[in-house]
Amino acid sequence: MRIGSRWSGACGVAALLVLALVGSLGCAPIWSPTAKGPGPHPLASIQITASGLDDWGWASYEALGGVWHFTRQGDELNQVWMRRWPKSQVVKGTNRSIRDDMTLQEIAALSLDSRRLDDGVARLEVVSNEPARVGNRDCYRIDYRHRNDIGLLKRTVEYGCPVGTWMYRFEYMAPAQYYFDAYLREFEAFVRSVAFKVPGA
Amino acid sequence: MSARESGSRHRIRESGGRRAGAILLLGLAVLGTAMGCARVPLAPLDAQQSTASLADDEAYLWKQTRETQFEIESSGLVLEDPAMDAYLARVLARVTPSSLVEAGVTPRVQVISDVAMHGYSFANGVIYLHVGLLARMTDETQLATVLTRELAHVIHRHALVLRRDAKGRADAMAWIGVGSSLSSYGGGAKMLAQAYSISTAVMLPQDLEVKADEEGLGLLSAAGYDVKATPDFFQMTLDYRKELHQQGPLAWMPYVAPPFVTGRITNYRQLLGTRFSGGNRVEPPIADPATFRRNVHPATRRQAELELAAGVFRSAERTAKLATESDPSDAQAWVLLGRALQGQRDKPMNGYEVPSIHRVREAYEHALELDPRDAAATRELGLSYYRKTSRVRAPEASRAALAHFRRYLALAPGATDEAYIRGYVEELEAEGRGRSSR
Repeated sequence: MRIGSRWSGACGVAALLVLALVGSLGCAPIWSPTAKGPGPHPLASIQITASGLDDWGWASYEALGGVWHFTRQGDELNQVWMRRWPKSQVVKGTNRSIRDDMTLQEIAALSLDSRRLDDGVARLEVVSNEPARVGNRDCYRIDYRHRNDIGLLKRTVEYGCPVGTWMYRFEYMAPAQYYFDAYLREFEAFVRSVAFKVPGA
Repeated sequence: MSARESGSRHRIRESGGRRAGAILLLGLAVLGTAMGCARVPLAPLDAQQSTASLADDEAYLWKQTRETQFEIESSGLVLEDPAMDAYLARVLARVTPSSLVEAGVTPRVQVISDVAMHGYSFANGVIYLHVGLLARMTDETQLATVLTRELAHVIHRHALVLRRDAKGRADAMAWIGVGSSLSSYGGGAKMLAQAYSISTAVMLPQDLEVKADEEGLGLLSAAGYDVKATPDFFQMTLDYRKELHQQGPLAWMPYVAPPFVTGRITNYRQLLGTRFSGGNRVEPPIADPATFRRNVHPATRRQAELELAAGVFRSAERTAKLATESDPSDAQAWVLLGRALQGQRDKPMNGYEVPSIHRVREAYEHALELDPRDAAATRELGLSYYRKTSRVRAPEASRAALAHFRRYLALAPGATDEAYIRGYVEELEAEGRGRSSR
């Protein structure tokens, strides 16, 4: 009883949070489809431009700080994510963030650690991990296989680029069988076309 | 054990969200417990109440349990090591009462590769122990303490009690699932949340936990383990939680707050002062602490890797040290120790001494003494010279880094990080040429 009363305040707070959560879910959608003109397309919320993926569905999640999502035949078959976050932000699943003195290899390792701690990315097997150039910036490129939560073998290519105070990440994910190879070239061309528009960086 | 003595594995990115999320989940769990009204007692599993006569809802719970276990066990989350698994199975067999076997239950223990300190059981007698829990146990009696508590839950069918007792709890549990998916990331987190919802991992009503304390101690005593040291185990879980929280904003949110663990310690002390006041007969063979630590060495090493990945470098140092003690010939344990020390150099903590670069290198050099062809130790030693410890890299540091990187490339041709290392080699060679031309 004593313990229960001690936490009754927490129950109240929890109830309020639940109400707030439900309330907020009922508001505006957090994503919106994006119409495209001729390229290069501005991905204004993350301060880049890129060309390609013209036949894909585009959506941006402005409420999440401008995360861009692309799919051609649905998320299960192919998806591309273009996003960025402040380097000072803690990388998910860890209590680490990106320091300016980190090498690209260390940043790539941190990204892999984050994936491995995410038990949705089980049996992660790195195919390659190497330095790359994107938009005239030094970046890393990781290619890895993993199984998702229903055991499907997926393959992901991830580019990571530190630009000023931001960490950019561009990802392509598809089932390893057929779909990965089918659209990888389009993704690579899209990433090659990226131009960073971050002032002062 | 239930989540009371454990941190959950779910994490939220930002500290504000973490705090709110922790309060939300904690509140919901408490709310769930509070909703538990009068329960219909269930007969314990034994020869009379066997698995041959499961009620429909119990049979369904078992089916759900098997499906969830299949998903988890085929997902790559299970840490498999034949020797460790055999040892755990032997201890489990020793503490399992014959009545449970006569009921048709075949208890089994699996080690889950998860950084959070946790252990729980399912209705069908399967017990999951996270590496985070095994890594910090000091002896076999602590292992037996957890196993007997979980067996008590299984015998008294607490997962089913929880299911039948549900009503509002079902909603609360659903919200815990929602909370976990919001708070953290992928499908696997949901997978474990699903496991939590049909196991003893979540808050059980207080009377069930008290029952498990008492029955568990009874089983521990009957198996010939010393019951007197049991409170120390729960204190260890509290100490670990405190250790983690001193290392920054990582939020391994507890489903149950430390006061409940404190409550359990009090309960155990009461039991030891009453029903078990005379102690019990301790019957060998019981592995001595050093043998126990050696038996669970793979879990300790894995936990050090996970703590490193999570960036809790002081904990990683402590766990890696335990691994170097439990198997001093394991070169990888020394590499992990070096990386944990380097991590503290990269991310110094206020109020704690920053390890010297010499300690870092000593750990890698020790690994290389054990295995001169250890590629990881060679690379890490190279990196320890390559990283600048001041504005300019000393010529001797450049030379040492270059030598280690070249050796690494020879030891590990085709390594996934080969391109980076070749880049460092080119940079260091250019640096050397520049120095000699001046």
